[in-house]
Amino acid sequence: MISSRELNFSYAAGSALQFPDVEVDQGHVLLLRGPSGSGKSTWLALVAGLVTPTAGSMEVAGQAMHGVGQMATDAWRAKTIGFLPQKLHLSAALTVYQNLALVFWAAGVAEDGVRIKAALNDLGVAELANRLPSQLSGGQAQRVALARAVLMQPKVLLADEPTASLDDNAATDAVTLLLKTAHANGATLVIATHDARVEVVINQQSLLRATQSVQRLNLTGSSPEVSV
Amino acid sequence: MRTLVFAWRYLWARPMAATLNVLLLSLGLASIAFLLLVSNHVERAFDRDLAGIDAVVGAKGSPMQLILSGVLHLDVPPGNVPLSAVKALQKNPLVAEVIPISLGDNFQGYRIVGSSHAYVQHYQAYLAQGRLWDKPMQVVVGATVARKLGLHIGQSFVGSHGLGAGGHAHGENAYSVVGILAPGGSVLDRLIVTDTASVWKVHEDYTAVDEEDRAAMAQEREVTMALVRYTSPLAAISFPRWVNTTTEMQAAAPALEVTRLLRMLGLGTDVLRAFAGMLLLTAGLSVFIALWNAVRERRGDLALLRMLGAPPTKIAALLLTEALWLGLVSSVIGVFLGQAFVGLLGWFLGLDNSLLLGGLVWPVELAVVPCLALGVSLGAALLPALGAYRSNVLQLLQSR
Repeated sequence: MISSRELNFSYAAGSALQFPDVEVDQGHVLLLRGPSGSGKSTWLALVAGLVTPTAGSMEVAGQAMHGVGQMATDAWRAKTIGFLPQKLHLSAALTVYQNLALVFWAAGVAEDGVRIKAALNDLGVAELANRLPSQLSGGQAQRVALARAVLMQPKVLLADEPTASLDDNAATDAVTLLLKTAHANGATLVIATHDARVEVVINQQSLLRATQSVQRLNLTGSSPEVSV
Repeated sequence: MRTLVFAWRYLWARPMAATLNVLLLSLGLASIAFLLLVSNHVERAFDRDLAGIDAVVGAKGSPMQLILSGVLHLDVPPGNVPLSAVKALQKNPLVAEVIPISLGDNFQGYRIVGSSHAYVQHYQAYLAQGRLWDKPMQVVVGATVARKLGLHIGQSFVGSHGLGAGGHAHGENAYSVVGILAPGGSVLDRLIVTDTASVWKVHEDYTAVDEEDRAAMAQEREVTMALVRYTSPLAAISFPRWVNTTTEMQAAAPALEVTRLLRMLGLGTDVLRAFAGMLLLTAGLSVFIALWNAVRERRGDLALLRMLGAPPTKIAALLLTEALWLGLVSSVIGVFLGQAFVGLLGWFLGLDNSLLLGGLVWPVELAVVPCLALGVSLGAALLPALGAYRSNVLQLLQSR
């Protein structure tokens, strides 16, 4: 599902990152760990096709991540990648429903109201459809953002620091919800985090471990290592 | 379709900024619309009132004054000319038609014009009620006059001396209304038209001391001027020269004088246009700042749209659509505001149905307003849209 070999990325400024090889199967979990500046964001951007590797190869959901035009990559990303950013970026001007409708607009496909309602319903926030993001609690907003991320039934779900600025209970809920949602959608889940609590929650979710094996990709920025 | 909805929502998510921008843009556009409408009104009025009149012959003096007083009825005439001299014009082979105009009296500020039936026919005016005069002291009343003064068929009134209200009342000679003209949009709407003989009668009765005096006056009757139609366009070269050199009168060409007048008015409108241009420029800057800030504020949201698969062009288009909405809303408000300003000016000047401002018009030139609006708003949105186009998702990912 996600596989990379001798992956390298150089910034325009000159600094370069070397990533360990990885192989994650469909429906499984990859825990992307490392401190700030270790290259987690870049790795996520590489998976999403937002940047192309300077060396090595990467394949995501059957698509090689270089030599593809931007238009084709955008269209591919819209269908294949779900994204839960650390800062949720729900559009303040739009209602919850419209924030989800924006996904269809961005992907350039016809809006599917039934799917929007189903996604909100699956995450228990159907009754918030007509609210503005400013009228949501933190937990509600994260559920809405998660509904947005899985709306197109992506093959890969990227979560960027999903537990940052959450207390322990909320962090547990968030990770549990992510694992459940990814599982329900059959998506490969990538969690980029430097929060040790995520590891703990994943280990507690023994029920899921049977169907969702967890791999760990530790990034240090200089000497990468992988543990399985 | 959805782009329009989203852009609209984004625009009004900052209601203060959006309102301010719409207001600024609308004011600039309203000024432009106002100028366009006024100049259209003026040109239409000139076209209407001057149509078919090739020359105006009257007392020597300012040719423009002659046109303004005799055709547009806005100024006082330079003097009178002998009836015999005007009759002589008719014998000139270059002249197809001569319509005499005699001014001198008014009724409550509306001019009483002595002329012939040809004057009414010249403007292709229709009678709404009654008939044309068949003897002196009968009048046909223009539509605006009838409405404003509440005149009706059979009613009598006494004219006052002079062309403005408040002159000596010719109490011994009452006019009676025999006809009311349908509104035609021409100068006739605000005139009271009668036979030339009525004007002579009123003034001879007023000034003659005895019958002998009256007989002398009858011999030396005058009119104020004559409207002349040529037999051939070539007459435009020789006829005025002939009048100016061989008679005690002058011939003025309305087309020439109006061009001169519009050129003089043009100086004034240029200043207003420059002012409107400044307003538009300010509005453009304000739209630019608002959209620029919007892109900065929403940088993350826009980057997220890229993450969701929206191509950069689509994100730039979203910004441009926001600007498009601004332009569209502002041009609608601007045009109606412009119309309202013109209406207000008409009301303020009491020029209802008069030369300058006659009713609601939608000239084609008004299309300039939405074009300008879209030009300004889209122009102002270009750089912000480029900013949106370049939304960097990697930065979004790294901005923790």
